[in-house]
Amino acid sequence: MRNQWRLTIGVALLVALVAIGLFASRHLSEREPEADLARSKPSAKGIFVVSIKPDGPEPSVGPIATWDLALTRPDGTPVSGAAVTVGGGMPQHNHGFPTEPRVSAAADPGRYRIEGVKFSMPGLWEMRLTISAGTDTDEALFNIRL
Amino acid sequence: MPWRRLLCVVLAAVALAGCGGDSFSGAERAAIASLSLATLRPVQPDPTNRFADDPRAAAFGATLFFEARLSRDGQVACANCHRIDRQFQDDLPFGVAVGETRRRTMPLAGVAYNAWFFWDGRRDSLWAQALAPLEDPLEHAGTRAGYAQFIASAYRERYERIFGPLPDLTGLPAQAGPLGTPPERAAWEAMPEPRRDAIDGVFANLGKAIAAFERTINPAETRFDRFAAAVSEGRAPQGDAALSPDEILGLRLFIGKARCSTCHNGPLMTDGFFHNTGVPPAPGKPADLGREEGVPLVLADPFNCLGRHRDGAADACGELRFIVKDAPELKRAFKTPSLREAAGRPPFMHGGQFKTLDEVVLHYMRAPQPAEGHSEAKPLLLSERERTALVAFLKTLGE
Repeated sequence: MRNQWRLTIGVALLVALVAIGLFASRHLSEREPEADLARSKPSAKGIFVVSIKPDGPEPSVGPIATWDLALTRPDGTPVSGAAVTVGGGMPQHNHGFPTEPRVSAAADPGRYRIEGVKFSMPGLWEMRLTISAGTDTDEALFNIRL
Repeated sequence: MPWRRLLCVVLAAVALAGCGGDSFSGAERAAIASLSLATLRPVQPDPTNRFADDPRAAAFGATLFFEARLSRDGQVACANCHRIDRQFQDDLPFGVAVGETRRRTMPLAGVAYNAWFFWDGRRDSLWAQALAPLEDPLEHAGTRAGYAQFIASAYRERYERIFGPLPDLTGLPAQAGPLGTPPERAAWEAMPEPRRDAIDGVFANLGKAIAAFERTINPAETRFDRFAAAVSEGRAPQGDAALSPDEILGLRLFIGKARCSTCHNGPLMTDGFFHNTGVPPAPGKPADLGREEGVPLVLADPFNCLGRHRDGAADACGELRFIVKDAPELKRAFKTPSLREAAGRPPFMHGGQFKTLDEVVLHYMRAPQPAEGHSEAKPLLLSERERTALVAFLKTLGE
């Protein structure tokens, strides 16, 4: 009788392990690491506060879109006349954007337009903005999930 | 013997969990729907070609597509390599026309959905694409001046009904073009600029007619699409729409751990972009850097979107205006092909490097280092059964 119980418990444990394994292989392996999806944040060294948003619907795979960019100092003063370049891509696939977006100043103080933004596949994308204003240079990294 | 009963129940549960049936998670359902032909939007208008959706232009384009006299030797029509009974491709590792090209002929179903054309994207519209083989010395090998005169003699009325009067061609050299033989190039250079421009206009119109025809070539519904329709409607797939357990396993791998749908996404199963996945060089062919070669070619193409033969406004030229000109990932990057009906058109890849889908899957499992550049593919561990299942799934996309 004791042997039967041991066997039962053993089998149950084995089954539990197999079930956990199956669950893990199905549900955990496809998950990407958690990413900060904030669209407004301080730049890496805290020199600027950088906000981006699509000028139109939320991003989708395919179309070329324009994004709005707002730059301020931490105290809220708009930063005009900055030179901004766009880098990034899909870090998990070692490729950049399928386009080369360009940034130009918009009419309002501290406002810019990021033109030519395209996403060619679903997944996690990075948009890295390098910002130079006067003698200050800083970077801001945004994660965008499609 | 209660423990035996327990054992049976538990083993049955494990067996069920292992099979998983075809109960898909919400994310899997969404992924399946995104690949289904039902989600393919209609072909978007092409404002750069005002004849793109003109039925007369499409009919004329069909005539031109099958016209072998549009070639140096009178033997080469578009349809020679883009065979209508073979998914508009030729089953060969390299296209063969006046000479042998260095890449695989691409099929045409859904071609109008592309932003970039050819394996290296060296053209940026369907009409500009159609012009390139006409002048390529290894393909139709003709010249612009020769084609204009051929149209005037064989198709003047049809041409003029669509595009308006042909320019005056009197005194034009029989053959002249910037990509012809040295005398043909010299003859082209000797022509006054307005005359060259008028000939370019006729040549561009031939491309616009052929493009209007090619825009009507669309992918057909497959077993997978019928299966996807049932899954999204929450009903059991019937008849050939019911995929086998192996095909379902393959589908799960395709959208799951094999990561195929990363690049082979959307209803055409391609992102339309360029990737280096370590595919080996085509044997016996010169070095091929793929997109890295295509970028300067499309920028220099006089028929590109920013050129003078575009119809409509330049705001249609986003892809060209924001083209990635210089990035390490362009080296040996080739366009992601659609997987629709791919199983029925070996050999695979840009130089027909793989003869079977099994070889393709093995390549992505091994993910070898590329001859040049950096491969985006990462090694993939698949069991024998999974390998077979992935191939079985690819066949549900049409054979």
